[in-house]
Amino acid sequence: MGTGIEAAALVQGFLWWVGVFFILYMLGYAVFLFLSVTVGSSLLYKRKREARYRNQLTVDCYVPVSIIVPAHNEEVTIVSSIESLLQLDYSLYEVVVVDDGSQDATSQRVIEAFGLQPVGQVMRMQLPCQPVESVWLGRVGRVPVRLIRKANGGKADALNMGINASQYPYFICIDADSMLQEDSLREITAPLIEDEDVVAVGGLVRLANGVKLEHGRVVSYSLPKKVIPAMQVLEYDRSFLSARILLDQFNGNLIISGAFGLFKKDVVIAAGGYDASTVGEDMELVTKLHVFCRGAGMRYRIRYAPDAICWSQAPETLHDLRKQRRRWHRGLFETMAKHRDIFLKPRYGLVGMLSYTYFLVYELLSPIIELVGILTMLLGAAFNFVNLPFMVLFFAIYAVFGAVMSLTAFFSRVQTRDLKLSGADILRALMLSVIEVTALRFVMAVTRMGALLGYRKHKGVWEKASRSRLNS
Amino acid sequence: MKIEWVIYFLMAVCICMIGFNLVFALWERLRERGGRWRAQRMGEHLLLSMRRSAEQGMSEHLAYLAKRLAHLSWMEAYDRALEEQRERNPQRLEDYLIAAAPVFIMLLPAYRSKDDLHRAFFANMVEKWYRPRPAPAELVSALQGYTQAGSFYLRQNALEALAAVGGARDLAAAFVAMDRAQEFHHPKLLTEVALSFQGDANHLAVELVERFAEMSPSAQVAVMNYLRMSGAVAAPNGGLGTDGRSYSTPRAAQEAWVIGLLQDPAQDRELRLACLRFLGSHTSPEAHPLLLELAQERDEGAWEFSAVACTVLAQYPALQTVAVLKGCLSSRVWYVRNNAAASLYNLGVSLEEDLGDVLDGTDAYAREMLLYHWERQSSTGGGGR
Repeated sequence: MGTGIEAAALVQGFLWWVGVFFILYMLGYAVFLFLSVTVGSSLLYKRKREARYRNQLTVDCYVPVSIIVPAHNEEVTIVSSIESLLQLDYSLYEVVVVDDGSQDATSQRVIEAFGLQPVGQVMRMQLPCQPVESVWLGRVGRVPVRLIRKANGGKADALNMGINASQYPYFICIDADSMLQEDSLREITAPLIEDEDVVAVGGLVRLANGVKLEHGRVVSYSLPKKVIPAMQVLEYDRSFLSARILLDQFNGNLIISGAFGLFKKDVVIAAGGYDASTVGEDMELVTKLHVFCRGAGMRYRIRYAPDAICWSQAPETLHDLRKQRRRWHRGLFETMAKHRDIFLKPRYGLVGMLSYTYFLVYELLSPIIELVGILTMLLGAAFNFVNLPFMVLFFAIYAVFGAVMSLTAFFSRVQTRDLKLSGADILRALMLSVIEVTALRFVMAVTRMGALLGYRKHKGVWEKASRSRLNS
Repeated sequence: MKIEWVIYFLMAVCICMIGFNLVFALWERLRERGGRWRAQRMGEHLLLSMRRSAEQGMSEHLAYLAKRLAHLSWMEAYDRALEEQRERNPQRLEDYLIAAAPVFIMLLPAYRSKDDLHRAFFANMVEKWYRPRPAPAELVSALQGYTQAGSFYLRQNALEALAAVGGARDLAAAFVAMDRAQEFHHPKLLTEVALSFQGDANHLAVELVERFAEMSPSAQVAVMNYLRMSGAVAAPNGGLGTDGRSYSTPRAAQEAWVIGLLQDPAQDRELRLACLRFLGSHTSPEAHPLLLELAQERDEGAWEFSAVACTVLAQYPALQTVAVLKGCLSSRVWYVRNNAAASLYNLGVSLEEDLGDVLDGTDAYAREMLLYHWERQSSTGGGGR
């Protein structure tokens, strides 16, 4: 009898502390979400007002840029992707396609479509990568197109090869299945003109599912018809667009999406280039740039340009989405582990104190924390320590809060881009925002937990989703 | 703290955000409707004044505009109405713009107290629609003041407006004042603005060169690039050059001045590189020996001079040039080898006849670089040689 009471008291004490932790944890996230959505939305509205009253750069002041397109078995999408790159409204750029040991006809498609010719393999190998097999060169209009065929080494290795082969002082990395908006180069280079300390700029990756594009311009916009990509649209606006705008306010972004980012080549080379040992090479590079620049005492800025838009395909099935998120989470883990020294170190400023802490607690460890929370609730329920109606009310309010934040970010973007949504789409957005923060978020927590547990087994594996041509 | 408070807090935030979304959507709709109404009213007013301006004068219309255009939304409506008339009746609009120009002067006091966003739009409107040249001193002075503001867009719009309506001396003075204010403004933008100057390019070049010594190295680079791209001719001391010698032509004085800057190690590195590029666009026989010397520079710290000199030498065809460039193919620096090979191709040298010794030589790097450039040119439409 006495032992049972003691055990119950122990469980109650444990649950009390767990409760305190979770209240603080959820409040912390709620505050971050609120700040990111309000700051993100305000900045988008401010930019719209500035553009309306011509507070924007209009002169033709170009920074030469090399666009690097790593491709591995991309025969379906590669030609249309390059064609879209050749229509950009920018005067000085080249396209460097790196075929990373494809087993399909990726190279042949590019060679035939653009009439490339073989040339010698003269390159300044400043970053280590797998050996070159052949180099092909051509020109489409005013844009040089270069194809490098190399032994397979992974995406980071292909990007390093692209940096070695590029001829301009700035490079942009994009995914082979993405499409840049017509004015995207102009927009992503604008921060370089405004501030001489900028070493990298992240563009805004938006989901092309449900969007009709012609020559890099949006001609019609709607939420994707399928549920999984439609929920990702809401998630992207809340978690990526808003959060990155907030982190940008104090030079604290640790990620520039691998789908669209611009970098100053000499700084990237000095920092050691992409790390081929991680599947999260995009985050690793940006974190490394922070470490390198602060270590070297450089004045530097890593900026986020939400007006520079890249259209990318969202995974359309839960299976593909889970593969993508497992990879992202393994990449996150590898980067956080590699750069753990910056955690709470004052010499790394707000990057170490806030950004790293946020990514550690609310990104990397969140699946563990959230699942432990659910298990604790079950334990509490088993001992009858849980006020079930109150708990349901609390979670319902919390879910509504998340959904409202998603919708605010979503509608801010829609309104500031002058997009027109149908009534049906607005209704779908309302419903999907609730499902996204409850069901999808839980599925993603389990998926990311799985990624951590299965890390050793899947280390270095690039789980790839199926691709189709973008609607261009 | 009671847990209920957390729930109340979350609920309050939700209600505020939902309210914000609804109010903003409503506001946007009303603003759009208001914008259309204002544009229509302004269009009617504009059309009426264009018709009667000749016989009845503009004072009433100017008073109306001065009152309305102090507000951004009306300024935007005016811009739209003018755009519409430019499509329909461009000649009549030009006559109207000359008659209506005083309104911009009348608006200056109102915009003096406005924020940077307002003033940037005002500067943009001046650039687009103000016609009399040269602009009166009060307008120029206001624009020059704007160029020293903290807002990047205000500075840029004001500079563009000055390039459109101001004189050469006004623009040069703005460059110097901006430079002194130490707000970073990219040299490329300064060059672009100077290139867009609507007055006499040579006059602007003279003004900029006269004030060259007052500028920071970054602004000096912008001016040197302007001289290179515009082809405008100017040298310090009224064309006498810094050494006081008299030259046969202004161009000769300018070249001597640029060569002097290039040779002076005390000058900023970027400025000296800009001088080097200038000599690639405007060839000078006097510069040739210096260029050959720089191309052969083997000091690791000065490789950029060697690399740029190799590119520039493509504009100086001579046997000596070919010999030096062939030597540069064996440089330890990749960029020097690359530029030397590209220049040899551009000079029209024959791969087999003139460069056979390199092809048959022991330097594999030099050979690869040559072959690469000849293949590259043929694959990108340059034609093989």
